[in-house]
Amino acid sequence: MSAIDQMRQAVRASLEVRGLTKAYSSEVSVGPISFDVREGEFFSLLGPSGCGKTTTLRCIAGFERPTGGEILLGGARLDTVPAHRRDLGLVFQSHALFPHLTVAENVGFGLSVRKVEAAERRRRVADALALVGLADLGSRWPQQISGGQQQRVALARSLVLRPPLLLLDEPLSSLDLKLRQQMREELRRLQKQLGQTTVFVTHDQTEALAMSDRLAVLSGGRIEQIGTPEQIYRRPTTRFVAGFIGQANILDATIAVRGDDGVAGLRVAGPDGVVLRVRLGEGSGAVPPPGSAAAAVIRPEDVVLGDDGPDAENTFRAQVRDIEYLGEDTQVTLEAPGLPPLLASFKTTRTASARLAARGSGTLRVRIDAADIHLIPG
Amino acid sequence: MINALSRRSMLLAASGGAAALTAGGIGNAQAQAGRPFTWAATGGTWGATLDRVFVEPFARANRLQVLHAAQLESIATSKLLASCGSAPFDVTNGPQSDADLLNDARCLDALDPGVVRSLGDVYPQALEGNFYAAFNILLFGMAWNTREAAQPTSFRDLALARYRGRVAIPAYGWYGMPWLHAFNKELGGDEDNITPGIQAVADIVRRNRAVIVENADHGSRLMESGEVVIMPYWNGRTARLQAARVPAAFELVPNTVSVGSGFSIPRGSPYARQAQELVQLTLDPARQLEFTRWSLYPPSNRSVILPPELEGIRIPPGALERTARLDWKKVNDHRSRYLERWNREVLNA
Amino acid sequence: MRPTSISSRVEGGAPAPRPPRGAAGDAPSARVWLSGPYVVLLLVALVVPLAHLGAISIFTHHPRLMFVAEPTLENYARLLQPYYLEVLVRTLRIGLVTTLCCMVLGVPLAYWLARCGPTALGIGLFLLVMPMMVSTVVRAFGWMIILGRNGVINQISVGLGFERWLFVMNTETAVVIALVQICLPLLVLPTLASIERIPRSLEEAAANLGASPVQLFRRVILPLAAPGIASGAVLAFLVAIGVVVTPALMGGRGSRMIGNEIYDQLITALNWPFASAMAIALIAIVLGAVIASRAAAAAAERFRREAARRRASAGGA
Repeated sequence: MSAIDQMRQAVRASLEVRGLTKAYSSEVSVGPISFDVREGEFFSLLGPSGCGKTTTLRCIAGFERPTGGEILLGGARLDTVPAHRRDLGLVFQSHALFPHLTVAENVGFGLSVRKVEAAERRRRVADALALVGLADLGSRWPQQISGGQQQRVALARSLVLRPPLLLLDEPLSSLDLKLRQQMREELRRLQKQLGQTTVFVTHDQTEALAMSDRLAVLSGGRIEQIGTPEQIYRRPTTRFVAGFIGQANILDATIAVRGDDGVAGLRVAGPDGVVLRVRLGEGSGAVPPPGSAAAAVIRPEDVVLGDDGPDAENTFRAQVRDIEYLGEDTQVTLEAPGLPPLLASFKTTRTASARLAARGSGTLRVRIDAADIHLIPG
Repeated sequence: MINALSRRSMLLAASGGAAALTAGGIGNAQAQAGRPFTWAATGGTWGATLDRVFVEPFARANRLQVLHAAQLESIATSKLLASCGSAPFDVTNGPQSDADLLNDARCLDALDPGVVRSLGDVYPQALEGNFYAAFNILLFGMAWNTREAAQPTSFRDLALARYRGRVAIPAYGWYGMPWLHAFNKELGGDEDNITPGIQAVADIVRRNRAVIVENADHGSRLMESGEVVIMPYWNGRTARLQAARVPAAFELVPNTVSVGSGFSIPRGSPYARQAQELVQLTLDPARQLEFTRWSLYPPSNRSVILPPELEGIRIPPGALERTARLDWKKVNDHRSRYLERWNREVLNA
Repeated sequence: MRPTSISSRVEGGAPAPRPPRGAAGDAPSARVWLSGPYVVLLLVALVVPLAHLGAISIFTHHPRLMFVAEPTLENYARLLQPYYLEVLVRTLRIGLVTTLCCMVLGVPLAYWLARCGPTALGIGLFLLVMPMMVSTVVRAFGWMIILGRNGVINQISVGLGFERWLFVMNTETAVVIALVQICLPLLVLPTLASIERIPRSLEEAAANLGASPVQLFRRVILPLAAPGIASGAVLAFLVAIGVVVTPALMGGRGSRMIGNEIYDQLITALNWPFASAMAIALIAIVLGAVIASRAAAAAAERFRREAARRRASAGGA
């Protein structure tokens, strides 16, 4: 059996967090928070600082005592177990390597306190270091290796114990951009290879979307939405999620007409607000009754510019207020009668740029596909 | 030492310069010295009473600014030895042994009989050469509890088995050193052969579990509390215990130590003349009586007539002849070696 | 963040980064001048008096002149007598026991202070440091009131209908008790400073990796706080072996320490050469202790590194 196969066996457990609360004072509290992490899943807790994601992670790790709720690992209560008996893996943002121990001693620390016999310990340390690609650095001191290498040592130090659950506390945010992307891929590859159940805490949405099987978006101590990256991005359920993840035009509106098969007419708020045609897809729920408030979420990339095709649904003439070149993408701010300012973006290709330039001083035709408009409660 | 020499010559130069500056003027000693008249003595009530009875009237009469350098007598003595000839003090208060040591090291001025006129009235036992005159008679004999102990006849009584656990002896650094020599004489030893004394004291410590008395207050507390019923102690202190209605009495046993307390004048004092006047003041009968009223130590001036209420502390005629005759020079010669033997053989007993 | 004291100790092979230099430090001559006042102070306040002391220690004692400048080794030879060796051994024993007691009490206390809230830290530091402002004489009297034959503890005991049982006054134990109180802050303060520099995340990491509180303390806190504990222990030891008042007041006639002998020879016997020889011997012991502790720390570190390297290479990494 290979080392990785051996590790695979141990590192699958499901996590359930049920009604977790943590009160710091009468004003500051987190929760209740509930979510499940499936066996082998890469699950992220995403949110701005102070949203409760780190508190949740520290409650799982056992560094904070929850005020209420329970945490179960593989069906067994975890929150009553002291931190040092939880057997979870944890990688800190600061790496938290022991400066008085060599790389190998750091990785072997958990085995050593468990009194694992020396030969076995050496073998497993060597395997773990090989796993993260640092086979040759065992005798170095933490201060002698780079930040990225320190990060891998921290990871190996956790993985060597074959934890049923790996907790990652913003492990990439102390690395520079290039290294971060590389580590992101490596971490994800390793996690998949091992089938390691992982909870990843981050404030970086790109990281969360790129790496997670599923993620929870937190705000103000509560979970806003749990879903796959695609669900979170395409079908946000709250205004916070829509605004926090990527960029979005959020248009306050009321339901004007309700048709069949998720088709509806939406009157945009404001004087002379236009009516947008909306076609909700599978899994987006039912259209609320006419007259109820709703908000339309339109991603900038779904606002199609200069489309010369036949007049179709949701087509306007708009004026370009601002153009921003972001390299790969170009962003424009548009103004159309009956609509608030709209953000649109497109790939900076030759044809698209030419089309934008060709508008002269006049207006531009803009179209939004009815299926690209997503409704959230108003 | 070069250091001392240079300091001294600098001091001389400085005072000479000052004298030249004020040559045409009043020539005030204060200005020449560059410091107030400084007297060294132990602090506490002893120092305060010296100040009240002797120093204050002296300062008033001479219109001098005075400074009390309060410190243990032995510390003042070592400072004087270290700065022989340019002493930081103008007079120093202490026992004969220290004065003798300082004189041997030629660190003292002789007393001037022209100024210190009362020398002839003083008990000879209170005098030491021509450099020291005690203003009172300090006798270190035996104090005993009149209810729980019998009148002692000798220092040997400390070894009596019936006093086990209830005797005390003085620490060497307090008055243990002269007492050791006195007791040693009683036992047939002399200053050069301390063995009989050391052995006897060690025996008292070992067999009778003697408490080591660190200072006079410590001794008074032991007598007051009844923890100790017999010990070598001061006549005056015992009299004060009596005044406080403690059932204590003082016995002038053979070879009682007679020391006295007096002022001597360090060599090189810029206030040499004033210092002589202060010593004379301490021998003045009226002043001595004043001090005795507080200390209850008999005056050294034989012409003092004690009032009836002080009759009890009067020294009986011929009593001083029974006190130990110690060769202070030899006592001082053996200070260090005997301390070592004391620590090793008595304290480790 | 890495504690600086640790990094400089552990960095080893890799050259430790030099601290940035200020403009004044760039010219070597300027640096030399800046150290001038310190050198002068060192000379005047330390080197000259020490040389003086050393000179007196080889002079011949003279009962009246204190000493004459005839070189002799007799003062040192006298120190080799069994009595003084016994005093020396007792002094070192009291110093070591005191230091050990300070470590046992002080290191957990320092850990607690380093990890408690700012209010508790303030109160704790105040309680720890305040007794340092009280004279040792007064503190010794305080102990007498508590520990004496008729002290508070025995009186309470008698009041409760028991016998007197505490007869610790005038023993070496009493000296150690009083010395521990005197030396404890000296050990706690440097230890506290070094524990405060250990990031909490290291403790969390250790706990997460399965270290029990005891293992955490032994494997993470102690090694990382070792420089602070060591300097605190050296301080405590040095103060403990140099005291005079505490053994005089707390100890019995048989608990004399080297400080008492020096005091007595200096003040009572006026034997400055012998007192100086004892002082020089004490200073030599102190220096020896400092050098030995440094060497021991360095040797332990070398040994540990060597062992780590051997283990790593034996692991076939």
